[in-house]
Amino acid sequence: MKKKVNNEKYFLAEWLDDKLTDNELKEFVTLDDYQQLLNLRKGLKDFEMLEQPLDSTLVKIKNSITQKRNTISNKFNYKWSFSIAATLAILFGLFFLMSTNEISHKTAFGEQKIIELPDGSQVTMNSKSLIEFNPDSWESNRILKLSGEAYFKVKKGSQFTVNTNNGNVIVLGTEFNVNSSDNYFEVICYEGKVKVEKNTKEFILTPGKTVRKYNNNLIEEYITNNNFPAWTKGESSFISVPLEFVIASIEKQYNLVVLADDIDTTKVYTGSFTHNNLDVALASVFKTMNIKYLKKDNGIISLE
Amino acid sequence: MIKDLNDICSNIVFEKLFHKHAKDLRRFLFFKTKDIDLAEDILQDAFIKLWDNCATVNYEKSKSFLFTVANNLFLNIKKHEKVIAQHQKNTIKSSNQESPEFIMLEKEFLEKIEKAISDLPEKQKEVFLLSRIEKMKYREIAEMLGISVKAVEKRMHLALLEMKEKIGNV
Repeated sequence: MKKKVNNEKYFLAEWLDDKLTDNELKEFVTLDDYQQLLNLRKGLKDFEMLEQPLDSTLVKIKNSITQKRNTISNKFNYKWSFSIAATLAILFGLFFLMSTNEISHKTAFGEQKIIELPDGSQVTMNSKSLIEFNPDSWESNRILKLSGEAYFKVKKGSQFTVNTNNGNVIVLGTEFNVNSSDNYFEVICYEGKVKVEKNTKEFILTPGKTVRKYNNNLIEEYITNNNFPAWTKGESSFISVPLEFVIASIEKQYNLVVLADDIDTTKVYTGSFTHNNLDVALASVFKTMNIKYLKKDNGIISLE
Repeated sequence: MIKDLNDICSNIVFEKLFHKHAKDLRRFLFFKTKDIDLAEDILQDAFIKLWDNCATVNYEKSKSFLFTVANNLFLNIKKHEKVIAQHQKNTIKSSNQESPEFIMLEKEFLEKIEKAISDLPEKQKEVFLLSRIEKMKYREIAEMLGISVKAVEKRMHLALLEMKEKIGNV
């Protein structure tokens, strides 16, 4: 070590925890040690990945097996688009070009998936979402259909349209999140400009601006401060959202059934829940709302 | 009873096989693909194939079935990549293709790291694994073990120093 180690400061602990940058680390150690430490960290990352628990993998396998029973007819598409493609971005785009049919992507309970469109635009899909588009005409016609929630990073180019049952979102090249389910519609703009067509109304969103409409309420507009949707980082967050939609989101994320007949689901919730730990997630939503919940072992949660 | 224990079509046996082989298979695929997500996808597909064929695959042969299927899936992807590369007149940079020597080195390096971790003094190892594998914050580890955050950081720091000494230059 180059400098005398200050016993009060365990810089390697801080460095591995990303509290100390690589450049700052250079101040503490020799160049040789620095290189060795970088190598060590890279190896540790591999080690960590290979030691990750496999529970979620098993859940996905089980989901695929049950889904497969239901959709034998669509086997070919299913196989390719569901299992391999997400990680092979380039291969993916070409596969689209070569096939002739509409392509669809679907995520299962608790699953998130990043897909790349033929033009290199990226879509991160939240759980229980569906995306459909025609790869043949993609070049000239960037239109896709979405139900559920997805975060888009769109490459600059011609007009890019997201159609949903609740309204249309039109952009040129930008980052935005669309959440569209039965009675809930929300669009958040993170970069560039986004046009939202809802019924006969039109909204132009600039970064941070959000439009939302649920049930029969009026369309709301408000500002958010994040640079990306929290759900892409393992957390779902809500600002004054009625409990019914928060519950629907928990159900999608954890593959559960929540019995909420005995509570008032129109109460609004502000906060977030994690995707990695059901107990923590339930506590952070229902405890804070003063709702008692009972976890049964068959995947049913009853609220009272 | 004996028959049931060997019936891959039973959920319990299937899960048991998963827990028995999934980690090794992921490791195997990771070294082949150098891409943890792709490894994960192939891993899932291999087990789905096992399920599809649960009635015909012999219990004792399940491991070799899994590894063979996984390897074939991997080769198919490579083949497909190749076709596309030709199609595209080699405009794709095949960044995932490492030489066998390189993969050997990687593998040896990882084994060294595993050895270094398992050789750590018990207290350092505990803190290290809680932090890196269980993804607990230093503060949470301190609370759990009933020691100060500084003490956790110290163990972490020493663990890294120790490993660096053990592994040295690659």
